[in-house]
Amino acid sequence: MYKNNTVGLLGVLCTLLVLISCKPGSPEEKNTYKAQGSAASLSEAEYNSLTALEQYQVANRLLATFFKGVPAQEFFDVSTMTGNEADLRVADGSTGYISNIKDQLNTHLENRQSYYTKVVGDGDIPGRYQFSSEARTPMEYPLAYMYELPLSDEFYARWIAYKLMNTILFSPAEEIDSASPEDADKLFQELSEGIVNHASIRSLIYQHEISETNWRRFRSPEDNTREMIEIYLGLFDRDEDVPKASIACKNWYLTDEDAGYVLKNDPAKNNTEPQLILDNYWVTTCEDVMQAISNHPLVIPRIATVLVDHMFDVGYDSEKKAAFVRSVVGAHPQTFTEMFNAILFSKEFLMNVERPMYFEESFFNTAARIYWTPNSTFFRELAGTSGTGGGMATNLLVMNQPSMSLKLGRWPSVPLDSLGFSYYHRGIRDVALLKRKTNYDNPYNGGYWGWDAKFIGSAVDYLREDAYINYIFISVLGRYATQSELDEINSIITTAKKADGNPEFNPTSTNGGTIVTTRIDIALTVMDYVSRLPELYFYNAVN
Amino acid sequence: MKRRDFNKALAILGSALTIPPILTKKGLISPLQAAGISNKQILAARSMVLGEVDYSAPATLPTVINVFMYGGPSELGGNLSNIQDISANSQNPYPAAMLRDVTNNNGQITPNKMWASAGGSIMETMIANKQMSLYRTVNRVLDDSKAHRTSIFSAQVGGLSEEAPGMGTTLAAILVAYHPEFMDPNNIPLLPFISMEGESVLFNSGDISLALPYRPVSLDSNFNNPYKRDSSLVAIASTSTCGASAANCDAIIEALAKNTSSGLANKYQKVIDAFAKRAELDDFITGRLSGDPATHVPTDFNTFTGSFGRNMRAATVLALENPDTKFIALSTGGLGGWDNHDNAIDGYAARVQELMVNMQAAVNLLAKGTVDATGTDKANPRNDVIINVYGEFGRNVNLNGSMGWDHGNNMNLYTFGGEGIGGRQLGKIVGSTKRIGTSGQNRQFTSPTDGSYQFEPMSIASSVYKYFGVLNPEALTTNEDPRAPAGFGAINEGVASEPLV
Repeated sequence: MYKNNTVGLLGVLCTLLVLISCKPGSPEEKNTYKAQGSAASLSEAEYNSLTALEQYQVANRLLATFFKGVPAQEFFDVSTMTGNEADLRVADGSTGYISNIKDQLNTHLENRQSYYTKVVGDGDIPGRYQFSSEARTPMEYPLAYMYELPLSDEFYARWIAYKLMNTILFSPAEEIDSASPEDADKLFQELSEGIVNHASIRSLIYQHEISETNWRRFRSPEDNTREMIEIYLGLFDRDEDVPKASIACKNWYLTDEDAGYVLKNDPAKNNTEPQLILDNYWVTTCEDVMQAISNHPLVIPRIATVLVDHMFDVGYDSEKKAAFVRSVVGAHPQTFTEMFNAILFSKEFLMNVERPMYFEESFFNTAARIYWTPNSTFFRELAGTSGTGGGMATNLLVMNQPSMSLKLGRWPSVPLDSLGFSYYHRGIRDVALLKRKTNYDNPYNGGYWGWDAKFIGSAVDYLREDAYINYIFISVLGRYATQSELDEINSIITTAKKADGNPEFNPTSTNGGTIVTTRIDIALTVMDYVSRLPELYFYNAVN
Repeated sequence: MKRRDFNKALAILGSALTIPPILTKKGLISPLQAAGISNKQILAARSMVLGEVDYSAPATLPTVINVFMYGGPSELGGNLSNIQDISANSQNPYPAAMLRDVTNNNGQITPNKMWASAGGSIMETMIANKQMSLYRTVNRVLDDSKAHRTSIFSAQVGGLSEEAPGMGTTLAAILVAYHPEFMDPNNIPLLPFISMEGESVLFNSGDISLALPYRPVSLDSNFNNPYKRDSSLVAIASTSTCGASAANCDAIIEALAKNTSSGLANKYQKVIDAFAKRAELDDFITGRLSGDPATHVPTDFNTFTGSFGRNMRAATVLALENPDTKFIALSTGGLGGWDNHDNAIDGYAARVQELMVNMQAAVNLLAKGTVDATGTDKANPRNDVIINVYGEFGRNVNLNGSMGWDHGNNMNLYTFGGEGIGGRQLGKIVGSTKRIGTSGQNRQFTSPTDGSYQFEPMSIASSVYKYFGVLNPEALTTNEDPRAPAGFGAINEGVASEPLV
């Protein structure tokens, strides 16, 4: 590949951006990356200066992003959950929560095999979950693994891979004929392994560009080179480059369905004439093209823009977003881990960004906060290909949030159309908030999954009346109930009558068994109400 | 007037209709007062709008079903008029059968130069029966982008600005501002705008803020009903009563949630809308649309096939069962569908064939009407439902090294039904094409011949506005973009057809 002396508009850009470009390959493991400006991290001092409730909101925002959550009774000193926010204190183990999470994500997972065994089994040891018997399992495994894995480097790499594969950057496009779940599996493994081993962004892009998985998504030289220029450089007006780039790739082709959609190279069609693309780059082979793209100065700004769009929502203020991206890029991130660290641990993301949550974010966060555990088929249904009708509604497809499926990835804004959101709402309400575990022994009994009695158990047994209602509010919503909410909910509890005139609740009973039942009923009633609040489905600004 | 100001004016008019009719009926409050809008403001807004759009309410408000072919469909199913030249210059030759007439040893070229097994034979029949017209020269001139996203946006918003409202949203704003049926707050149409593809650019809001009744809702092809909450899960029975007034407990909980969220519309609008629409959609599905869409279709007319067929059947049943619905967004599936970069011929042909089987089924069902639960005809046929089928761009005609077609430009518009709409002309094939590009190279595609009628994809939106009464729809497609200062006019359906065989 040769540089041309011609300096076009792109060349000017390259010159301007050369200082922030990085060499491909594996950067040193030591992480010295630190963004400043609008992408500055939330400092420990800033975090500690927040009220206890705000700290809980920030902690759960970060954990929700990782499809995790922390229950209120573990985060707070439960003896301070009196119903008065001024009394509320975090538990001793909850100080420095954000930096602890960051440390955990950087910690090597020692016994990873045990988690895999737990998910899928090993020989005679059955796994905890049932997956599709067909080839759909690659779509179902990742969320199950992430659910079971503790925060660790292994978890973080898989989470980053999952996020990337739900964007335009690395979607395996399982929806199209030439791609398959096996492609998703292969890409997920390659990305996860690369990320955990600190491979650079550029090297992962290059490896993907020349992979069969990528060519099953973009299936001809012209298609592939156009999309690589658009996707990794953000250049949507370089139509004149496409024929030239595709000449360099003309010996690459995908076989047909009967031959298994295999990426082949026909030496007889090798190009020998250098082609000038992107104003500055002479390319002769397809590898040249892909290197020109993956090494291009626009790669890092483009990746940052796409990821910020996904984490902040495409509707986030464009000027603030641009400043944030400049700040991220200015710190010279070389790995996806560094890029995500900058975004996720920024004060802007943790405190200020407001956007709808993807289903994985809200569901698993809510689930963790109420000690919810899934049934054995949960992940199969979650990543299934067909809708679940009007029944259980935890299928990402019917919510219009299919995972690793769309050719151009998920749109960086959570779909909230009336149909998709109705499934989303029912998933949170019916499957998490209102599904209580009632049978602890029989795994074949429908009562063996749902939220655990621990949620309202002995640790919070002393919380009564308004304090108890507030405990549920804090646990699920991260805020106290307003006075009007308390008044109305108390009115419902005290006045609800069945059709036969008997009361629905008996909160004044001192009989132990009755109290337990009543506390369950109150919890269900409050959570039914909370499920109807839009704020439950959003990241809301803290303070 | 700038488009932005125009849209604000439309929004003011639209917001006047957000008020529950019960309040206005009782004379407790005027719609305008309740919306916080003064008579002066509303008159000013109407004046601004009237100065911009030339509107004449049509005798019949049609329903438009917009079928979008994501991925960029090849035109060849409806246009083999250049196939000899194309094949002779293609990097890879076309199958011999595609170069022969249907009368010659199972050839594929129909009398009017369509691809017989790629829907061509069906189209021949439907054109002869004046059930459809085929426009062969939908051609981008002002912005020949070959990027999916850019082209999807421009086709679906009907303009070159991605910030502009979608076609469905603009249509809603126009009807709310002008049409008597939409301006009566006591008789708001039931679910006038529906998406059967989830969130769609067709309903991007841009800077238009519509009142809740005019915002789109989404349904699926089976009329599944996730809108009704499962009352068996909660602690309080659905029949229990609460409070001093002994009101239904669930209704009290719902009202409390609504009250808590009030005032937060800017932050949570789509979710608030989705919650607000739940009961209406539940009633609509369990009432008017009860059962599988197939149960509404007379047995002999249930010739829909495949997953797109289920969608098309549902959309057609919806149009018949609820004439209030004026615009339905539908797609032929994901982006992979028409993006035929490799091994294109067989898959494409089968896909167009299936598309046309379903279009014929839809047109036939519209002419017949639905049946009730006993199978008795409801006698509700419609001749005012227009179905437009198109994509974001066409494709090259060169068969590339992977035996596929890369992104191109010229494409077809397949338009069906609506024979009862004034000015509608069916039974035509409009536009002639020629192959352009260098022989043996990939960038070969068709282009309108000199003098051939042609229009940009954005004109499809203009035509929709025209069907609903806008006399100068180009005013709605400029989007203040300097590349299109005059906007895009409606399709001229009066253009002469190519000679038909």
